[in-house]
Amino acid sequence: MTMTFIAGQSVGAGGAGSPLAAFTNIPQTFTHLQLRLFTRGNSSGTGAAVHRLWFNGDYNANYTYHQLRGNGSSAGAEGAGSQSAGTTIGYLPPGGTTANCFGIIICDILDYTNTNKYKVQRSINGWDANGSGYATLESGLWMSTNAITQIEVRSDDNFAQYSRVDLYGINVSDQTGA
Amino acid sequence: MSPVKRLSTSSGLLADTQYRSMLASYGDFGAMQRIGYSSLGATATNVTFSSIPQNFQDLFIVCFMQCATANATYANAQFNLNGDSNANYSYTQLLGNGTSAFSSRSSNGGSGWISYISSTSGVFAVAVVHILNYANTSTNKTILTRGSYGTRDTSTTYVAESNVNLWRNTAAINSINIFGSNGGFTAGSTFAIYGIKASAA
Repeated sequence: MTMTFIAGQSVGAGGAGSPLAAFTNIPQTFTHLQLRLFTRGNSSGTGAAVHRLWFNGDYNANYTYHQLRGNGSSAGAEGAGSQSAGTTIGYLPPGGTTANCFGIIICDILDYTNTNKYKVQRSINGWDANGSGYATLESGLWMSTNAITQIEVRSDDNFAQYSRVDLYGINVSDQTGA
Repeated sequence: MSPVKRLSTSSGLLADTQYRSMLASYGDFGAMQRIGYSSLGATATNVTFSSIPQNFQDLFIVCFMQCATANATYANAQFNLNGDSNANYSYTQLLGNGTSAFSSRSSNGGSGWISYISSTSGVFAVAVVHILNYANTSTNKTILTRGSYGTRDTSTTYVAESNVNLWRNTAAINSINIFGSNGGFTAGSTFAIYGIKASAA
């Protein structure tokens, strides 16, 4: 297995608007993709910000998602089918929560170049602010067999300084490493 | 750079094996590189990775663990960062026991949470730990873990979990101490730590 950094976007002083990143012209030479997000909302609100993905500029009702989440006291689930609001990949802390607390999302997109399959993403996600937060597991589907060449990452909130998203390509190889 | 091909070992000729570069070896996976590894030959209460290089973007830890005390109830693995065991840790959990899903929380604790681990003979738990921006000195540290284990005894609780931890400290992480309850970890438990770069090779 080889993991290769493709591109990244980080947020400087003053924050940044949504989308956090739009990865275009994604190389078609890898087997899988992985997005790694470290983000925080920039507004003064206390509601968790939802992060979503769109692929190849498709804003039609071709997305689904399912979520299992824990809020520290109970577990819950939700999902939606055939929606245009992208596929959900997780929550991140709002700007009104404990200072300097960021959330993490690790999102895997398997077989992104395969033109015989719909595209599936799987995410693990969480943020904790010492008395609040979420731990979630997400899955989502883009109902298209097109190879993924573009990914747009958006949030309900703008992004605070030090937020970032990085895109990696993963190849499966036969190296023994012995 | 042209790839490097290995043609033989001390055991004789091989079908040629191609490596990306001279530096490619077990533990080098491109942007992800192994920076430490521990395989326990005997029971140990803890494993510590210290002097962690500060030139990566993220850390990734893979744990394969079994409790040192057979049939202990709710054995678990936890961690401290930079030797800090003060009340600077909190976490939110999402767990499933094969019957239902539930969530819990800990605040102002002295350690972070990795996962429950098995205390059944022959059964090891697998857990992964993600720490992004571990060397950033302006942000508190978020640690995401995922763990699971199961046993062949159908009356025993199976556990699958996902957890998020907060270490309320903006210091760069330079050491991680992983410790187990109920006497620690058995021989055969392994721990590997990887650094992940966020730049083109």
